Amino acid sequence: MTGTTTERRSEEFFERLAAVPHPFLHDVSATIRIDIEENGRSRHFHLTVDHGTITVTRRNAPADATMHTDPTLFDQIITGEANVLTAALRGRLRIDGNPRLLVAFKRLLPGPPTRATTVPAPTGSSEPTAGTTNRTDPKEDGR
Amino acid sequence: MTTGMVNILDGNTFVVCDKRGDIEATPQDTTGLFSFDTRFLSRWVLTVNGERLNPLSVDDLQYFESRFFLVPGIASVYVNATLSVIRRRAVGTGFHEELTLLNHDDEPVDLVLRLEADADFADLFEVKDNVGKKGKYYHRVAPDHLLIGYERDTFRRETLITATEATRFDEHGLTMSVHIQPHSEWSTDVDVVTALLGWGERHTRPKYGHAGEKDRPMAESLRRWIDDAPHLETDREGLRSTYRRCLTDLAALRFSPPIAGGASLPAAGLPWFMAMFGRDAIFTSLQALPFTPELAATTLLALGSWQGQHIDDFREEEPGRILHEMRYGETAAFEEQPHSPYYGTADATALYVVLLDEYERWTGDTDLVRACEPQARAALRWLDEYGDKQDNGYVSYQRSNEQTGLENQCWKDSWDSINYHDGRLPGFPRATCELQGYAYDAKFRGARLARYVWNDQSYAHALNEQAADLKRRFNREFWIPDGEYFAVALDGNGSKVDSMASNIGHLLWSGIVEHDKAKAVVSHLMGPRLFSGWGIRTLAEGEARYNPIGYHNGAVWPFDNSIIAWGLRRYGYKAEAARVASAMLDAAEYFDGRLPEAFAGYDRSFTQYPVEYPTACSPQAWSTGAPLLLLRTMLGLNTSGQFLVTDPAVPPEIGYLALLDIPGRWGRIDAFGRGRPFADDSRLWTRPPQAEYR
Repeated sequence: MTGTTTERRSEEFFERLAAVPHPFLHDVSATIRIDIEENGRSRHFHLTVDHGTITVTRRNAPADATMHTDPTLFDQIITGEANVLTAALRGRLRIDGNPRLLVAFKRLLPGPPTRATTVPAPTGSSEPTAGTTNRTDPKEDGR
Repeated sequence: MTTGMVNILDGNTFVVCDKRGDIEATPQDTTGLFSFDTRFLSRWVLTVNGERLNPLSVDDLQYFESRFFLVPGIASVYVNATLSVIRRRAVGTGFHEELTLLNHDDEPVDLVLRLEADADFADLFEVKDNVGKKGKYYHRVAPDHLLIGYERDTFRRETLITATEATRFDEHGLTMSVHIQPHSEWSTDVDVVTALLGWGERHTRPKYGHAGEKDRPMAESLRRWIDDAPHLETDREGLRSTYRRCLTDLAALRFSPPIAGGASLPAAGLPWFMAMFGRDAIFTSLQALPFTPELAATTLLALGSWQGQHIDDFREEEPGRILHEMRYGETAAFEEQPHSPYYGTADATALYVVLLDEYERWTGDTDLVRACEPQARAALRWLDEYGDKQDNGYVSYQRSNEQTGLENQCWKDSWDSINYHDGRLPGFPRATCELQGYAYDAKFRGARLARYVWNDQSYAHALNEQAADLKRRFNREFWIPDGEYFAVALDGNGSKVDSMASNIGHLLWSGIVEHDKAKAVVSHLMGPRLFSGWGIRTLAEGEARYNPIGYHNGAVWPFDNSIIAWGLRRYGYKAEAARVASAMLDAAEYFDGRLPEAFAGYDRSFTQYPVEYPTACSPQAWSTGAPLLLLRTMLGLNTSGQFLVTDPAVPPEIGYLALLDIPGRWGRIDAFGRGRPFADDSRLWTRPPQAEYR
């Protein structure tokens, strides 16, 4: 994947955010800045969340929370391949300011890429057999 | 928890050490300084002139502070101490330790004081399961500090140790040379600060510095917490101290996750569960609602902000689902465990709506109910869409994370907790009975909120219809006519799982039991198979898997009993509710007012005292909340429009009860009750179910 593709994808992501209302953020008023950093250069996206509507600028202005990331990770975040919370716990994504806004930001992100969602078949009422999810160590059966 | 250990805690940071104040952790035990599910100190041993110290006494000053009185030398009958050592330690962002040495001699002394320090940065899950570390440790020694760190890729956790007096730091600790004049004292302050790098945190001073003036923020916060709660007056001295213990433990278990912006909600319990748990936080908030309603507000906001949006099989996230458990340790960070957060619970989503309605009834805080409307609607939608795994109108569960997910996603979450009378385990999905009760209650209460707060009459009507239909079907399809009780679950084929369990008591609380079936349910709950004399067992005697020390298969859970007592009151069984309350409060006095997570289901006449479950957590939030809810049930506290109504039914063992300044939409009101013997036929006395709610 070329740098320009991920750059375009991140820009499109923020354009989409600004285009639609976000009812689950109706009680959030805050600013969030995303810094996508590479080779000492940083691209800034400054979000103003105001009761469910979002405006995005490219200003390098102070924000209630700033999230520092890199192009690869950010691309994985906006495609749902990476989780922002675990990225933050690992120190891959750094947060300055109010960490609570990570939760608000998370609400704007897609879920993990959809796999073929298979609904497991009912397993009936029989005695669990080896290979099912139940532990069937007879010693633990207590009988 | 190892006996003889001392715990101090503040939210999700806690210290477990021995009576000397020392920490010498082995890989599998829980001594240490823990924060965010990580052990930041695994060794912390004080010596004077190379000698370990001998404990004289320990003062647990506050839940966040202890003081250790020590003398040099090993324990012997005769201790000729000319030197005393006092360690005063308080937990904050790490901990702060004030070391004071007193020279009682006529001569000056020169001493070498040494603190051995190390950190293994074990994840609590590793301590529980004994798993090896994958990263690297580092030690950095500077003239004014020792830094111990752990690094795995970009994951870094550090412990920084500093001291106020001249100190030589080395990789394994710190040393001070001390000269003390005759009959004089010397002291120093040592700070241990924990850091999660990259998580909006840098090395900071502990959030309060010093035993003395500077500790006032926490002492002040505890004082305000206790002052704000209702005041209890009673002739039963044990109950007064139980009440005080509950309020203090609840304060200690308050937990401000970084995502809650400084507000606090109850963590589940020490030591394994100092984390955000959906179910536990909701139940504790419900129990504590008449006492500390702000816990419910934070719980609703924090759980609402993490409500599931997507389908994620690893975390078992689904749109509208309320989380089960959130963790911050290494295994969560590297997605070796799914707790970021993990959503594998089938009850928290309905209970979220139940709490929202109950919160509004008590506080009148319609702003919060409006703010949570999208979350509540999504939660109610989850019950019908994702929660109904068999498409038969019942909430059921079957894990999508086969490796690390939970098999049983109800409150009895151990692997064999749901079983047939003959001991077999049912297939999946499993629709346990109490889940249907919670769903019924959520719809019923959701309808009330839709009508009065969200102004959506058609939604209210639809929810009421659904609730009524669910109740009709449930009473037909879960009822076991021969035994006259409700099946604990329907299995994967929709057949009844026929063991008798305490779950039927939760059905009374939810109001899903038809009036003509209530009496039979109550007689089972209070009968010899379920009622031990100390409380209602999780599983009835006579079931194949019954075991008095079976975690969910026979042990007595105070939380479970408090909810059942509330249910007994709901159906008018006052004497029975009082009997459960009385038994549980008796048990509490054996544990110095701190009910454990569970105790053994032995018959009361057999043991004389309640036997604590071997590895129970203590303090545990919903056990701490149990006496509070039992006070509510004894006084018959309920809301009716703008008013607080009381209908006391106090057991004769308690002379009088007065709960003063109960906060709510009425301002503050007092409630009184006097203990009276119940007439023998009182258990037959009932009033129409849900009279309190209509």
